[in-house]
Amino acid sequence: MAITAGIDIGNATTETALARVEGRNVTFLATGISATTGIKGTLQNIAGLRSSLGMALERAGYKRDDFSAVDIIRLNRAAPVIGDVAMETVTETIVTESTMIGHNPATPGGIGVGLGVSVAFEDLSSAREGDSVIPVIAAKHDYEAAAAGISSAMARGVNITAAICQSDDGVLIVNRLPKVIPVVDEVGAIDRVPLGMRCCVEVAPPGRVVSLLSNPYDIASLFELSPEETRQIVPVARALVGNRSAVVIRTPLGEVRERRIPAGELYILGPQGKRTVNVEDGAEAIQNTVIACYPVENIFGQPGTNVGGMMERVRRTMSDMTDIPIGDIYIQDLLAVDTLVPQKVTGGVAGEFSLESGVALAVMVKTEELPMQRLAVAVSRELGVKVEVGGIEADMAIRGALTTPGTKPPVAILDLGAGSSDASFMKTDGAVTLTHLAGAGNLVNTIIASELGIEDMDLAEAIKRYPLCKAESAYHIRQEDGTVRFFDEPLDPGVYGRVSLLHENDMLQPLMLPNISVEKVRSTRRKAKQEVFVKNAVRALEQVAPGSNIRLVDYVILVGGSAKDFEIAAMITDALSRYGIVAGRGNIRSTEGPRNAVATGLVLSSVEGRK
Amino acid sequence: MSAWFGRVGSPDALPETKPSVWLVTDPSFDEASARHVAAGCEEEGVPLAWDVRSGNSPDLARIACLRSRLEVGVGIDSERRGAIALVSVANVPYLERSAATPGTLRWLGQTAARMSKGEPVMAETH
Repeated sequence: MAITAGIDIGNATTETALARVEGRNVTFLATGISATTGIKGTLQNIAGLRSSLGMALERAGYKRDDFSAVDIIRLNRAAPVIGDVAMETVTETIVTESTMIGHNPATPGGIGVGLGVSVAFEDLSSAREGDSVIPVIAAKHDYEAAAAGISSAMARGVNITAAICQSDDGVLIVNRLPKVIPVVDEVGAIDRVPLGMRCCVEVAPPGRVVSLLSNPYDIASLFELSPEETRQIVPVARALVGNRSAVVIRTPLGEVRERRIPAGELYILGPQGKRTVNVEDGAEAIQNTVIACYPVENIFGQPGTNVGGMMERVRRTMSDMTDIPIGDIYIQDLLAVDTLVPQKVTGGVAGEFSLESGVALAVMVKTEELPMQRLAVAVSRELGVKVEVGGIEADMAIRGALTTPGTKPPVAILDLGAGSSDASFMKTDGAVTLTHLAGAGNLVNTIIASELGIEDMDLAEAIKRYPLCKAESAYHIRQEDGTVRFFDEPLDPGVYGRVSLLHENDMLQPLMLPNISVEKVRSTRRKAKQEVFVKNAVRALEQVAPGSNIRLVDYVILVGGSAKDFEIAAMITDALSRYGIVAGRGNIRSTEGPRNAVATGLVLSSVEGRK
Repeated sequence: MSAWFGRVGSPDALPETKPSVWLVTDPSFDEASARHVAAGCEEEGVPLAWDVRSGNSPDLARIACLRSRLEVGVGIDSERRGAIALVSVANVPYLERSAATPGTLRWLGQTAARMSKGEPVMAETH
């Protein structure tokens, strides 16, 4: 009788399966899980390993640090892959001499379109009868004074067509005027609004968006633009789409440009030689080039560009970790996803955002082998337990996955992790083919973060992981599927009316993001998961399926941390059903769900060959 | 203007039937201060009715919300402590803040109005 611990050190988590082994009989006692410390394959992993094994020991009734109870630890020969992700913005909108203000104050005043010449509010008294003017009101004038000044100018016969103001006073001003004019408020950098220029203000009715200032031909009609000038105004119109209020000011030298940032070229080496693709060309072009170069031997980025820097960073990390010279590190897969990135308009006056296009990239590096042997020696010394390095990760994953009820070879496994998506296919005779692909949970986080304009990656991870809801009263929330839930205690005022994440134990995490809706966050989250996991599932199965024919795969078992996600498994099941494949989340040993496949496989493989 | 703000019993009082947020304050509270609360509500498109009573701010807010057709009330006591109460949240104020400056008064008005619309509380920038 011996106590065996199978320990799987993954990119994100370290999982333990603790079992009693008697001859060929294996009795599983407990499992443990802990975050992986450091990059997998390094000595830093020991801390995470201790805590994962300790958890399993405790659950099995031993003391947390009673490592002597374990007779043998089996480590996986970790798949020698690490992934990295990056975002590249490929367009940028630049405003020179502020010519537009297109933002969404919560409460603009009035309704309609006003065309006139911008004047400082202080100079309104010098406006003449019949002049069409638009006063620009700084925060130092309160709404009573602003409304009084505008009203008296109107009484003198000055045609005040609209107003632009700095404070959140739009509605208050309009309510005090003899006639309704559109007022755009909350314009932060009011001092940068050019004066004495022709200017147009549009405020749409509640629930609508601007229709004139988001149409280039309407802007051309308002400002009598030439066809060439109309072409130049397109980025302005585009940036104003979807706003409830907007201002466009025509200045003699002002222009809004959409600049394309040289994101760099990718050089992809395959059996037929080198192919070049520009990151600006977008995800589809990049992915087609990757397919054309299959099997990819190496990928480089253009030196001196962002993408070049990213590729070098991955090589350096891998080289530092494995002591292999940078020149011998090969990037063997890449997944690109098109994204829309809200970026602050350079030179804008009201903190305007424009949706720029970008490309999110994940790459995967493969080396000869991670130094697991070195780690095994260190673990053995540290814990005083015999350690051996077991079989290949994908083999172990299949062995573990096959403990899922209702499965038998031939079967394919999709191991969806944080850093990479791995696939393996086991034929009836036990022969295994496998592949590692770039792009998994971390790339989803990157896409969510860039599309929602989030810098905090923990927040992006939470958005990926938890469903959304909105507190509609002090006592109830509406979940993203439309159902309503009531609470016994009043909700915190901080979540009232806000889009929030619904954590376990009914904890609500409010999303402090401007102008977001449940639908927007939900569609961003689902699209990111589709683009990464569904695309990778198909890509991976094409590589491991017999004859590269995905239809020849009958069963697919999803394992790994990302398979636990509340919607990824269902998305893949749905997508693969079109190929006639039975796909679903694994249930390791009928109890563990999709986790612990490799750790379980490590224990099971230890008894093979025994009589 | 009377459509947006009015003191109970005065000529410009809002009609009893008008959906509005209510403000109930200590008698020492002046009209200029009440207008700051009203401005916060008005910018959000919600009228404010004002009445005076003695008491602490949670009690005044409770009286206010029970009289409001929108079921949201603001109470401000003689110490210039402010509270917002919702009819649905019994016995305790939903939110308490100082009501000492024009900025905080306007924020209280805005927050009460936004709660009546089911919208989130704005950041406190005053």
